Amino acid sequence: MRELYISHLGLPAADVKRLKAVMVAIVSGNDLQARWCMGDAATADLVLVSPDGELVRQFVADPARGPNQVIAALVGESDSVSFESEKIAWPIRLGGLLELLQRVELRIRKVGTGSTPEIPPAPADNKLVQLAKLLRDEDCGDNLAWRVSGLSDRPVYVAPHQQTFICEDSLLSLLQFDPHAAIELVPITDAQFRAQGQRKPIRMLQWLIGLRSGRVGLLPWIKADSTFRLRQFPEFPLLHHTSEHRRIAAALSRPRSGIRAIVAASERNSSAVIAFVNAASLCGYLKITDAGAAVAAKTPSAGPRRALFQVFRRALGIASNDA
Amino acid sequence: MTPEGPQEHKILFTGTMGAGKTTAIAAVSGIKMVKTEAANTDRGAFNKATTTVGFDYGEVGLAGGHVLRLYGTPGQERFSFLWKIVARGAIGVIILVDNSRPDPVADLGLYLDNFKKFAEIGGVVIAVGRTESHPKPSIEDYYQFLAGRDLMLPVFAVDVRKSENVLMVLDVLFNMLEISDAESA
Repeated sequence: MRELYISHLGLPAADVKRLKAVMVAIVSGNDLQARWCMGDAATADLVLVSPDGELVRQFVADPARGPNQVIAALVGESDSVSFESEKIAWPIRLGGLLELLQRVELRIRKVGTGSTPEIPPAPADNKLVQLAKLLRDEDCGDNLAWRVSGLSDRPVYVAPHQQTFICEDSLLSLLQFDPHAAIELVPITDAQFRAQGQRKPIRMLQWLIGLRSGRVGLLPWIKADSTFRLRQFPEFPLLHHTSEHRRIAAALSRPRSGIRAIVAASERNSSAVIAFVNAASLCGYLKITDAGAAVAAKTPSAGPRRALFQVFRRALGIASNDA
Repeated sequence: MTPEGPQEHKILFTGTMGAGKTTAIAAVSGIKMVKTEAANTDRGAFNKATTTVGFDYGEVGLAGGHVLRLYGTPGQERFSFLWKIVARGAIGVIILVDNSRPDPVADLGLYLDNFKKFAEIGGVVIAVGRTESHPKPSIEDYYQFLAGRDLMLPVFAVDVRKSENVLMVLDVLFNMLEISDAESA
């Protein structure tokens, strides 16, 4: 059974609570073809949004948003929606949401059987991509460090040759960063870098920047049809991650020929896979080769114990998309 | 699960004495753990007052009366005859490695030899403890060791006192088994 993700943006807390309660009721029934989980708005297959608000308008208009992501506005009788979207009547009711989920499943099936969508390469002139390149480049000079402005409220200081960085703001704020926003990279001396504060392992920053760069596409030096395999698992206890990442990592414990093979094996959408591949590549966790023996992509077939593992997760309180 | 009645499922926590098996099981068990501890007569191997001589046991209740049983093997090698007995019918194995021991990579080798069947299907996750105080061998060293055995298994530096670390390890194990199941289906 395929796994699909639903998320929300800009909804009042009461609606979010109701959404979660209705989802629990829906997933316990047998009316859907896919297994639906709560996910992150950046990569979810369906995002429920409020009909207005600047944050929602920006999100809907973001050109980096996945082309197959469905937006549905939660509308009351008097609400009008200024952007193109599906609609679901407020308050959220089981019948209405179920119908919407079924429509999304149908649409995704149609996309899946149509022509294969291209895996977009990230534009090389994008500032986030340039930052990713800087973080990847260990040969950027022995005494060079960088002040990066624009990622969060306060500058981030990076010393790739020392494998460290300094960020006084919450690292999670970087996940909210607009991948199209301007970033300024200014070289500083090693002494200036050392004066800034507590240093952290650079992998924490590489991971977050890699995940975020997934919003603009596959990093330009990664070919979508390469063979991918983990060199090592991401250091999950150290990194902000979700159950999605654990799943994709497990799929990449074996070689996979191309991004689409990872999507098929992990049963996660291409946006999530691209974000993971970018992040894992930046951190050096991923071995990427042009050709080689790989487990062929095939239609995923649920193993006999899948339902059992889901039961375990629920009993242990392992959320479907925890951090 | 079948409709005949409640079923039991088993996950094994193994590793050397003092690696944290008891602590890891306690971190996620839904019941008060059953411990079979005795005075440690091998203080040379690990300096703690008591050690597990039978096995530790914890469990997590599942819907429908089913049970996930968590077993911790006795750490001392002289009890290795018990490891395979306890492993019968297990779904997967968590190997806990204590990085403060003289040769933790060799320790891992011993447990991989004993649980080879699980390792070959991806049913093993390796959790390395005390890496903050003992950073060597590094996690990369463990991956190199595994590559020498043609194995690609997850290795994490963890603190088993933190339940979120133990849950993460378990979820990775479930994912590895799901992927393995799907590809052999």
